[in-house]
Amino acid sequence: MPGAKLAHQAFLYDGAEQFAEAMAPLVRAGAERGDKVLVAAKRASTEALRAELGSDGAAIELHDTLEWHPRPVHRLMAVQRTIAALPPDSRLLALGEPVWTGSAAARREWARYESTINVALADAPLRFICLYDRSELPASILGHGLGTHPEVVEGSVACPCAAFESPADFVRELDAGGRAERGRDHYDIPFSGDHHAFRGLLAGLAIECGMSADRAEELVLATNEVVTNSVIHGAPPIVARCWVADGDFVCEVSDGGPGVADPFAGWTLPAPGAPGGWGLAVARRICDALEVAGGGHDGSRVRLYVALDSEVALEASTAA
Amino acid sequence: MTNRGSEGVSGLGRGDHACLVCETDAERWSAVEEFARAGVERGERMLYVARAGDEEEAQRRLHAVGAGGAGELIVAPAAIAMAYAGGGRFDPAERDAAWREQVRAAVGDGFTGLSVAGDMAWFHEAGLSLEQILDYEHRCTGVIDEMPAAALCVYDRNRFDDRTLACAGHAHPLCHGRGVAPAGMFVSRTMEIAAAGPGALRLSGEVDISNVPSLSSALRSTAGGRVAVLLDLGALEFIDVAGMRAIQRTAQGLAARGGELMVLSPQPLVARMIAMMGMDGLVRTERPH
Repeated sequence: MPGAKLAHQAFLYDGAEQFAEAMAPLVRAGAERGDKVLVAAKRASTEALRAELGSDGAAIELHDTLEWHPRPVHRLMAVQRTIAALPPDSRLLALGEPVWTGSAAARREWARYESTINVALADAPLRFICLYDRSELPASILGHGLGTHPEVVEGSVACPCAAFESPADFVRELDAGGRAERGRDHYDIPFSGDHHAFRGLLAGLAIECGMSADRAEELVLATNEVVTNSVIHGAPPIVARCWVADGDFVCEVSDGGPGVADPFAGWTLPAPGAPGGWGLAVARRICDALEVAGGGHDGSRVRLYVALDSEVALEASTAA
Repeated sequence: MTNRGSEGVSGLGRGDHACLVCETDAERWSAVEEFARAGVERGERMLYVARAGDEEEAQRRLHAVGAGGAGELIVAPAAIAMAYAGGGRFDPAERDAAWREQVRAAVGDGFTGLSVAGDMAWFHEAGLSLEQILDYEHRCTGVIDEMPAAALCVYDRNRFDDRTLACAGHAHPLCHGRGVAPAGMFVSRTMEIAAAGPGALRLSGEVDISNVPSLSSALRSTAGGRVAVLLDLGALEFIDVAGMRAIQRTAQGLAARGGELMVLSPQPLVARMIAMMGMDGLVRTERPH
């Protein structure tokens, strides 16, 4: 549809009141045009917006960002489902605020999500305004906000964002970042060719580190997929190096192969008949963060992060 | 569930709850006569639930095998069975209680127990749902386990669709009949694939890239020529994405010819994988009690 392209914009605001004052006119105008309006923001922000909109807010879907699909890949899928359900010729106006309360790796996953939106939703009839609260967030996160949006909202207009980076470069750079965080104590599980034995060792280790048995079962499934990819596409030796950092259980699967070429691997579910891409798609849906890095003579490295106190990945997905 | 293939029903005895998938009247009567003869020899009352119009032939045939003494043979017309299901009020729990009462009555009348053979055509005619059939047959297994009884449930292949046959076959501890694959189809160190009725497979253990080709080929041969496959995952401890993809391909193949893949009792993580892989619209998940 002509003019249906994605507009992906960052809005840097100062506290809930200023957010509500600035966004209420946009939301009202969207609703008057017949756009579907969806807001997922901090509770204080949604409440301020609700108050500002008054009776005009009746048709607006407002969610607390901590509750509405609080893992990035599930949030992306929920937005995709909302778009798929739009009436013909209508658009979605979405105001979204990432969740910055998790570990360093979980925050990188949100930044990857922001950058990936430019690719995954490129053809969607969507204006996506992403919210960054300047009064709370550190410069590094604000920097990521500018690096992942082609435009910024200033007052009532959208201006090109000079700091925007190519999503592929941005994601590759982020993926490399996690390597520096490796804990001092780590435990290696070499993969000997016996998947069953490997799974048993990893489950035991994760539970010993404090993960619930149900969540460990998911971590084992996700890691098994990454190891299977190494067996099929990579080269020995295949090793899973595990450590705990910032509340996350981290498992880095390395092999001597070329690594994963697609920086956006696992974000979008493959088409039903597609032969590949399913393993990383399931792994990303399970983990709190997933980094694919390496390649060349460095070998392949895929890091899976699961917060020790996290809950199972319950959400359903639909193919985009 | 053990598959007995085309082996006769002569080995059946007290405590057995068997399913027979038959194609011809001759097959059906021969199995029912054999089952009745064995019951009479054990001193049991024989109760036969007949197909409409079959009552007289049943009386004649079962008399001929010796079930003729006072109160020894009851031929219940299908209409009675239909009444159980009447008014859309079929209640498996109520039928459970009624069967227990029938066994007690047989013992009260001096028999050693009750043998029941039933032509299950009434299931179909009463329009029972798969959940009701599974629930009913599982409850019957419970009654027979706990009381002096045996039962042979006869399913006419010409009257039931693959989907119902797969579920019904699966719900019986024993399954007889042509086209019922032999038991123990595949066993590896970490996985077992067992035939569990016509068009039904039970997976146990762990499925991963090391054994997924066996799963793919078992699924292919089970789905071949059928429009419904039942996959019991209740005892499956692990399945990787490659295993789920094999199930997905089978389901797609069945859907393409108007059929369906049913997944029985998936563990919670398997149920989440079905959702995560966008397969929830492709497979039908059943959770019997």
